[in-house]
Amino acid sequence: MRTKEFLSRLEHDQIVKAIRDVESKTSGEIRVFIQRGELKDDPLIAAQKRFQRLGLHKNAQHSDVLIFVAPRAHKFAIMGDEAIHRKCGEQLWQRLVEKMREHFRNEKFSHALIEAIREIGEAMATHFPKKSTSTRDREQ
Amino acid sequence: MAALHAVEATEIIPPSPAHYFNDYAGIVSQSSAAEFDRQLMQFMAATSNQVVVAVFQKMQSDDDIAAYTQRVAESWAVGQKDKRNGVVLFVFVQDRKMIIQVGYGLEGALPDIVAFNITEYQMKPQFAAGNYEAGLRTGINSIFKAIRGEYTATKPAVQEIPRHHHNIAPLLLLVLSIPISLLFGLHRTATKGVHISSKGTHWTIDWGQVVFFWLNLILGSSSRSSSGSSSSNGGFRGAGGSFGGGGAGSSW
Repeated sequence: MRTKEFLSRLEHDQIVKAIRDVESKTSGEIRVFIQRGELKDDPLIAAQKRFQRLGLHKNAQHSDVLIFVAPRAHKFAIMGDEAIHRKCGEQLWQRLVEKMREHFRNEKFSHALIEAIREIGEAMATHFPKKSTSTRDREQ
Repeated sequence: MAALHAVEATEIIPPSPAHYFNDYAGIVSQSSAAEFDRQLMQFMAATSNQVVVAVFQKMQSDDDIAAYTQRVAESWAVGQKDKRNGVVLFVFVQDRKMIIQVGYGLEGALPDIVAFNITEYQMKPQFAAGNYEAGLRTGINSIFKAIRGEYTATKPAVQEIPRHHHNIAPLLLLVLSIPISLLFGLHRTATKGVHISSKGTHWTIDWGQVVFFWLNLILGSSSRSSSGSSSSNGGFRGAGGSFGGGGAGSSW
């Protein structure tokens, strides 16, 4: 699927709202990245590169999560930083990916993303709840 | 081959003219012809620049007027040999064509655009009205002025501009479109994707790649050899090894 078509079928406002809801409860951040064009790397590697490109690894808590989608290649990945990975482990990512794949196959793209964002958000809120005094060394 | 031969066969290079003003077509009165000849001679004496006028009935060549008259002017060797400061005004009455051939010693003073200006806007209107003498007089005077540095193609130049623009506009557009299309193409490849965060949806452009590309283009080929490998990832440091996170990937 062309990236443009994929993007046109996303309910951007809903996705942004889902991210905001999550981020109101956790000190971590969730990002979604839609890769344009072909995908040369394995989606996990591409997601990892993009993770760092977006500066998400700079979060001192290492709790950020990136959902990476390459519509053209029909590939996607969920990538979590060190700390959240340690807390939640492989199973969470695998479970989320399975769910997303089902939704993607049924072309429920927004739903796939929003559901994943919410579930990740729950895990993040549990392990990295928002603290009013939380200090983050990332420049905004 | 045969056709080419025929062209050459029909072309006649007239012998070097006897006077400065030569009316082989008989369109100018004898008194005017003598006056023009005297003016041209005086100009030669005063400035050492040789201006010759040759009016023919017909062009004796099937070739283009510019190419033909160039050959004629060369064979006549107008102007001082070392300075090449000769000018010939050719008029072909039946063909209704004329041209000013300028030796390259005078191309600075009488560039092609000025020469064209003189024939097109000073002489042609007179010729079109049948006033050959008046046309030649203004043509000769304009050539003198141009060589003296007095002829500034003022009013006719205004008319010349749109005519010239007409020729140059597509070329200009073409030349301009190259960097513009490069820019768009580049921005397309540098557009990596869409980034959705709590702040909204944004296109992600790899500005590093854009800057890298232009720097490369400007600085030339010296650094170009390295562009192929690093441009796509723009010098991304391989911090992958230290990445302790995890995740899962899949396809649909």
